[in-house]
Amino acid sequence: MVNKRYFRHIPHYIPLIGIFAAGVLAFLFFSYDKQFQIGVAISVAAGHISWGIVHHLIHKDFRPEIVLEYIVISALGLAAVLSVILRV
Amino acid sequence: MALTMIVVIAHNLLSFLSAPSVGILGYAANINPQKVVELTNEKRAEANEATLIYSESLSEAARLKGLDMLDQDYWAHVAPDGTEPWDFFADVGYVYRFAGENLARDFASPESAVEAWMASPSHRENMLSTKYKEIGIAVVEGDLGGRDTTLVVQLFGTPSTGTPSVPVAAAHAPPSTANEEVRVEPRPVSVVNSSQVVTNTPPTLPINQFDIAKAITIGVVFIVVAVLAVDVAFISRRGINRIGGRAFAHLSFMVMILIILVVVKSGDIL
Repeated sequence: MVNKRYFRHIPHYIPLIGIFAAGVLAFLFFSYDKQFQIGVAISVAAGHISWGIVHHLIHKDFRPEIVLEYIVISALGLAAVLSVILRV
Repeated sequence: MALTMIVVIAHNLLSFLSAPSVGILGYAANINPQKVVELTNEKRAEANEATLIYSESLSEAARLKGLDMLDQDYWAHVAPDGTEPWDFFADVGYVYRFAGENLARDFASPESAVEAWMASPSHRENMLSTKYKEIGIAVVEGDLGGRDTTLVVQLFGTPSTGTPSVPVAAAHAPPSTANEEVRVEPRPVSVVNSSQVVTNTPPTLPINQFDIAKAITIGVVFIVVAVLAVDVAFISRRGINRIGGRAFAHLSFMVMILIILVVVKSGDIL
């Protein structure tokens, strides 16, 4: 059984997936511009955090601890990408 | 667990940023200068542009530029002491009417370097410009910024034939400064000293640090993705309500990171 709440969230996930898809495409099309790629990585990580805040505010289950969770996950992803990009 | 992963990746990041890479790995580049010339002319042929003539003088100037980058430890067209690319043309006595420079570092193959240049509008313009008649290439290896680095210096030029100079609009091209005849004696193409190696033959190191870093990071992120996927499946099947972020959002974010890590390529151009 798939919870109804997942279907309820679908309109929220569409822009989130859109942000992530744009990030991947940016990396593909601007493979020659490392500075731009770093900017994209930071922007997507910030987008993930922002999406989480807005999403939980709309669903009225926002808590500061949740923001911390999004920040930790975003920092993990950002660190992974930067560790490779900055290696050149 | 996420914090542990962050620590692992951050350590990986910091170690690559700070450690002098004089370890066992080195950078495995396989760049034959002649192949770069061939690929450049192939691209020009596809664009219906004339073939560039290989110039020993330009290659020597390129070699000097590469050595200067290693000696002064910079990654730029203009050196910290103000030395411009065109100064190396003068050093070998190449009097140009038009001149241009493309730089690349840490590409694993000539094909990847040329493709990166072609993907950049300003570098592409240099490679396909009708202003240039000659090309010179040097592949220089050494320590740059504390890391083993393979530099590719690509110089373009049109020797002056006594006609008035014409300003050049290309991003990496200077105004012409002379109208004398070109006369240059070729110099040796290989130099070895204690800290760096310059060669016109491809090195044969087995692995490179970029691929190692990429593989390790992909492995770590894959583990995180797997854990998040199990988490999503578990709470979905059990119908668990918990206070926290959306596991699916985290999962999709980390999958995006995984895809980026797979598609990201080594090398940088300037």
